[in-house]
Amino acid sequence: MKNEGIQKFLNDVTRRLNYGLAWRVAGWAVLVTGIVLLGHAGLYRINGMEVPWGGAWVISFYAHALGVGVWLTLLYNSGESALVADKELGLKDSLATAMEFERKHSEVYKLQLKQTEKLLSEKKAKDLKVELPTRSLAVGGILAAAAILLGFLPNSEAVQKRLDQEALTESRSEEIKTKLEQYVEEFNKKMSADEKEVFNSEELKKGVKGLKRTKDQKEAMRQLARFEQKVTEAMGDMEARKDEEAMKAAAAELAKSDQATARQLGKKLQLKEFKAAEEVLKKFAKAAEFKDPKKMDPKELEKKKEELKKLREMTKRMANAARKRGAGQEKKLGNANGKMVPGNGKDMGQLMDAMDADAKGLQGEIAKGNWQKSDWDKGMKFQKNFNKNLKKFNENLRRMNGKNLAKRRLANLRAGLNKAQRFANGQAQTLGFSQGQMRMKGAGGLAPGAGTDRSKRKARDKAPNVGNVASLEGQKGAGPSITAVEEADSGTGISGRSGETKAREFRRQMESFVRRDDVPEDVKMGVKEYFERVHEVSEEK
Amino acid sequence: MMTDSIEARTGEFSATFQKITDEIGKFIVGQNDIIENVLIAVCCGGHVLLEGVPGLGKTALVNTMAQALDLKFSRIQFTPDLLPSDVVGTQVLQESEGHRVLKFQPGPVFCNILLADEINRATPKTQAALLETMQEKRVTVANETHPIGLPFFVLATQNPIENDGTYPLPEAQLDRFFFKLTIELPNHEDFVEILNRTGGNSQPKIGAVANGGEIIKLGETLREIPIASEIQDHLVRVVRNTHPKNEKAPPKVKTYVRHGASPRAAQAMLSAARVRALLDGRFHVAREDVDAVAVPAMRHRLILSFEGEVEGISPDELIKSAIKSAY
Repeated sequence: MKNEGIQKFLNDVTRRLNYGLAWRVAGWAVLVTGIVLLGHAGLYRINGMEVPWGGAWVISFYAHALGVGVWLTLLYNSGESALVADKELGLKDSLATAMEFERKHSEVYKLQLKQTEKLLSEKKAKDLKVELPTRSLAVGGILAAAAILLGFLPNSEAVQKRLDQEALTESRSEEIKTKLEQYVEEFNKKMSADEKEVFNSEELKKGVKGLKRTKDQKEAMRQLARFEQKVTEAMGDMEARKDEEAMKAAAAELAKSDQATARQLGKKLQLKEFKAAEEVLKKFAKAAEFKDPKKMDPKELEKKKEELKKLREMTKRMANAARKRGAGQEKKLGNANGKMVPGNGKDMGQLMDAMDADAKGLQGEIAKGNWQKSDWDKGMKFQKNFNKNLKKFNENLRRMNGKNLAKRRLANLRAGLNKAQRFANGQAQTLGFSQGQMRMKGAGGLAPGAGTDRSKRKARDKAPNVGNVASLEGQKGAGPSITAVEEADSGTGISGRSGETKAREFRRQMESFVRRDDVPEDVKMGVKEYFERVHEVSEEK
Repeated sequence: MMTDSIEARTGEFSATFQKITDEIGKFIVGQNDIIENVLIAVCCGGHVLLEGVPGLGKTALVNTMAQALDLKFSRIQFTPDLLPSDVVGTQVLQESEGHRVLKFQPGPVFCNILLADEINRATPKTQAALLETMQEKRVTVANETHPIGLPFFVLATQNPIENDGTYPLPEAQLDRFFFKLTIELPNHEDFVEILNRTGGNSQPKIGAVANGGEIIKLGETLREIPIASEIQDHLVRVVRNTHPKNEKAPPKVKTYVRHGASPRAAQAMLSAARVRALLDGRFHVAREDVDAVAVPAMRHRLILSFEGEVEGISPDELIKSAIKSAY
């Protein structure tokens, strides 16, 4: 049976001890809060930054929550209270022993309880001293006050500038993304059927989606550079250089013709107006098309013969141009820059050659004047083959037209990205991003071969030093490997790789240059434009 | 069989103890702690090793106590040529009814209180004979066992400064002593009082105030005093803290002690703490009782390490640090 007197005394002692513990823990909590608040404020102030009040509230809350947690964990139980009371009140372990012996019934235990009860009657729980932690409360309070004072100081000039810059970069990165999304959407809508056939704009959409809102100016620039690389790759896919060169050669040959229609076709091809050239060709072919010669009026037959002669003269010139370019080049140019237009098995040179052969065959059959069925079937076969090859030729012209248009749009987009990069790094105040012409005026300087001694800078001008020479890293694994060793003695003796390697080397140098942070954006743009022009099939040549 | 109430017996215990103390105090001046501790050991049935320089009253204390207790008292002055038979007794040839027979002649150990003066001067063989008797409380000679009457206490003395020609007691034998008490020089007033009491023609007369039966009864009473588990844990912690391998042992112990106190030390501390509780009028043992008896009960049971020996570390200091770290 429990002794009520002892139990009551013990409860009083426990309450008293827990009250004292609460004060001690509160003292520590205030001290810790003060230290952490001051540390928190000091850390921000050392970096010149304004102290965020939110952090202070969080720290205070956690310090006090921790204090309550510690208090609950350390709460005294009866056994601990008995030990403390025995020690502090000089009870010589009477209370702790009585707690253990209170359920035992032997005489000696009863005597011990009686003795303890008597001893406790002379003591009070209030005799246990509770010391208020005035020192830790005061120190904690002073530290917290100091932290609050520091909290009123504003950001330093440099920090404010940096924060403004970050906010600007963030808003600009967001604006660029929105504009690019709109642009790509518009890009998609405006694409013609020919373009859609050769170019898939989904990759562009994905690229824009991959751009993230960021405060880091370098990261924003990196994102744009990565996207620009994708656009450049897409532009590379739109290249049809070999076919364009074939068309250029054909145009030059056709320009020498006495016939106005042939010259007209040559002009269209020269101006890369492939759609119009296709129409001219169709019209031409239609005019020279034979039906059954037996049913034809002799006058009409003569007219057709004349038209066929003109067509033959035109195909001959085109085939000559193709042959002039040399059969050896066909193999050489079968690379990425001059790859064949996809969709049929022959390139434009071969098609022109085949069309000329068919036209020649047809002309030969017509010249025989023998309208026997077997002979005419032969003639019809030539005509049929000619039409088939012409159809393929026209298809290729359409594709080339589509690629040209897509390439122009992509070039516009890339020029826009350059503007976006200038905008992102603060070199431009407006994005100026639209579907219109976005190329910078005069970018890239004069065309290759049109040299000048005109200089925009004075000789003694130093290169602008913007202080930041860190170079942006390229895409890992995206670049070509130049570790291959070519053996001079092996193979045919004619290597196409040295040219490729050189091209890669130039490309790498150019990319490395345009990625440098210390080069102004307009200079980068100029370099890019220049190198692209070098590779373009120019009209002047 | 005891029929009195525990309250009556504890009262009787305190009264008897006080009577003996008062009687001894008639002759012995000061040394109250020593007297109390010797009597605590006697009540608990333990043997005491008294250490002190010559002339501090070690032998006088034991003599006085023997007189106050009305017990058979013997004294052996240990010397290097003392033989075990000189201590425990031997068989002698005697004439009996016309025949010559070997008869056991008991040695001085056949008494109730034995004063083993300067025990460290005897050879280990003789020391061993006595210490075996202390443990077994019987003597075996020529395959015949002779029990020693109870109570039986050995109060041994040794001089810590004259080490030439001495045989220090080995640790195993030291462990058989309940307490080791160190007698210090008396203070000025006690010195004067000693001279006053012993300088005249008459000397204080010591009378017997208790007998052997009462001493045994005191031992039975004290074993009824309970100890709370918390206090017992404290006692065990104190003893374990004297062991250098114990994680919670204080750094001093870890550095200067090779072996700590044995469980026999804990038994001695518990008994002695009970006596102190009774003397304080309590029916339970307190931690302060345990702490008070820890030093005399363990100081001879600690084996110091080489570092401890070289630096002259006192075992008392180590025990105090073990007590401190037990809280």
